[in-house]
Amino acid sequence: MKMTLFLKTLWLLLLIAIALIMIYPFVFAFIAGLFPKDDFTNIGSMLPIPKRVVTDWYVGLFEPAMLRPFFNTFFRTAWYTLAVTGMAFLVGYVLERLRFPGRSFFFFFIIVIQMVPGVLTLIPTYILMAKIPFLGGNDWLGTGGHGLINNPLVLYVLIGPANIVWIYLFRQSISALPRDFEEAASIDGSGFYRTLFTVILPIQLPIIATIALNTAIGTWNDWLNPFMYVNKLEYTTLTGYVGLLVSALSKFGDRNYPLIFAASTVATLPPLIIFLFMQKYIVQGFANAGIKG
Amino acid sequence: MARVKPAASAVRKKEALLAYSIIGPIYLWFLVLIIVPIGIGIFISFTEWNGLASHPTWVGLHNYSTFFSSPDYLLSLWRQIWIGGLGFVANTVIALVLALMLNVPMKLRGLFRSTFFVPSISSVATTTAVVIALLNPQSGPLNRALQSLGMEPVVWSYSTFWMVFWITAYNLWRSVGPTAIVWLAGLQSIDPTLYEAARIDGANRLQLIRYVTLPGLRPIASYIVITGLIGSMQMWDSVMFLSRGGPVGHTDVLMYRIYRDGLESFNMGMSGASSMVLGAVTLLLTFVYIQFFVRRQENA
Repeated sequence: MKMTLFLKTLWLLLLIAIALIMIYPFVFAFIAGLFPKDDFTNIGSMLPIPKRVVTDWYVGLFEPAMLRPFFNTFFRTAWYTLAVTGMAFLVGYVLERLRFPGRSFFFFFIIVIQMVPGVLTLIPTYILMAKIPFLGGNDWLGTGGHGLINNPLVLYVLIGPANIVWIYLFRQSISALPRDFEEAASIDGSGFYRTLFTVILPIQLPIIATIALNTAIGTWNDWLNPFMYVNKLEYTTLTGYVGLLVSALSKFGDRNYPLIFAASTVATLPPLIIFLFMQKYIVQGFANAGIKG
Repeated sequence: MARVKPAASAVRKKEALLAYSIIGPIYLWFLVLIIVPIGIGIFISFTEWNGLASHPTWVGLHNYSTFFSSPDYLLSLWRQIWIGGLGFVANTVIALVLALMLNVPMKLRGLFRSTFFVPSISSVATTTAVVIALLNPQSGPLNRALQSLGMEPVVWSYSTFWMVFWITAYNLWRSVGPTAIVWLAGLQSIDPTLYEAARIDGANRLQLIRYVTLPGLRPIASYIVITGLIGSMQMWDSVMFLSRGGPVGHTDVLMYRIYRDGLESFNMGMSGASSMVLGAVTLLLTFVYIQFFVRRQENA
């Protein structure tokens, strides 16, 4: 199938146009974050150029008051990356390789749970966190206190059906791996954990990278849980803070667009940097999920 | 079992113990944070419970009968289905077109693929702000652009058509790239010799698509359709940021209603019952798709 030069050019131009649309909002947000607040109310241009450039909004994000949200985002991302990846690695491996009573039940559980629509757990999880016994002033019946609502800990214990998919994916990856590796290691006298971490882990690095990077980006971008569960700046995350600002936009009152765009730009940078350097694993993982799932 | 040596059964016991000690704590986590909430959700759907400080009262199927007898809830469900469904169909089809466009060997393919993927690595909270700013009725850049082209400015938020359009466009922008990449992976998994063979048999370009490409995409299509269907029935965050359900509730999808019932008006019972209905509708759509499309294709 040979294409004429005209068609080829048209093709390329179309792809370039789509690519421009894809990055346009990021460029807009970056520039908009440089506007003085009063100038922005009347920009009226698809690609505004600020007459006066202020870096206050960007600089303001690194003031001491904002350090806590930064650290919260960072620790939360680190924790979930480690926990979800470790969980997928261990459970996926155990379900595929070890023989034990109830094995097929535990696997069936994973398949069913990952299909549970998020709507079924959204509000009930909130109720559970509010009513959890013995914590946050609650008695054993879960009454009397606020439970884990507005407690920074709550952002570290939540886990949802969407995280379970990775267990399935890792199990698939292990089942495609011949047992020879483990058998050779076992003959050499390597124990279970040693084989797991010195033999299996290195061979499975690509899929582990896929799980870790996607979890990291997903957790970094999660605005909903901080938005729902905590209402103090010192407990929330950067993305949760942006979510709060943006959700206030459509209400009446003072609108500080440049601040929102500066915060958005800064909040987008870490995932973007991870993506630029590790995109092979992220994109490949996405494609594989489709083929293997 | 008599033939199994004592040593072998000890090994087996050890293996089982090892397995339980690893997966036990993790499954306990799932039990508390996933299974218990599902149970709570089922329970509250049968109660009237206004505000977390009060106690739930058992009302049986009352919430469900409210749901199915009030036009408000039924309309929200319908909006979830049609606005979500519109986004789902647009995303699936346009992603396939994009994937076909990218499936031509060219130098810049890797760059395009990455660029199309970038929107999905940003947060909904950060990128909806741009759309909100563009749609500003007085000084909004889009209205200025329209005026400079000699057209009348539009008050976007007063128009159901335009709010649905922007919600769909935003979701499309965000997820069309990853979906295209999954389609592309499917396209590239098709054995090239099949095309060769079909061409030798005299198939033209359209026939190649009809008899080689489309059948080869079936497995990946079912993955895209099922995940897309589930996602579209949960779509609400862009609605909350972009339109707040407006104008006058015309984009108020059920998922957003569930969120507000639960966390803003503290009508736990109704949020529970609506969740159950939406969950059931989602599973039903998935089931229907698997039953009538995936199975039939396998038999064909």
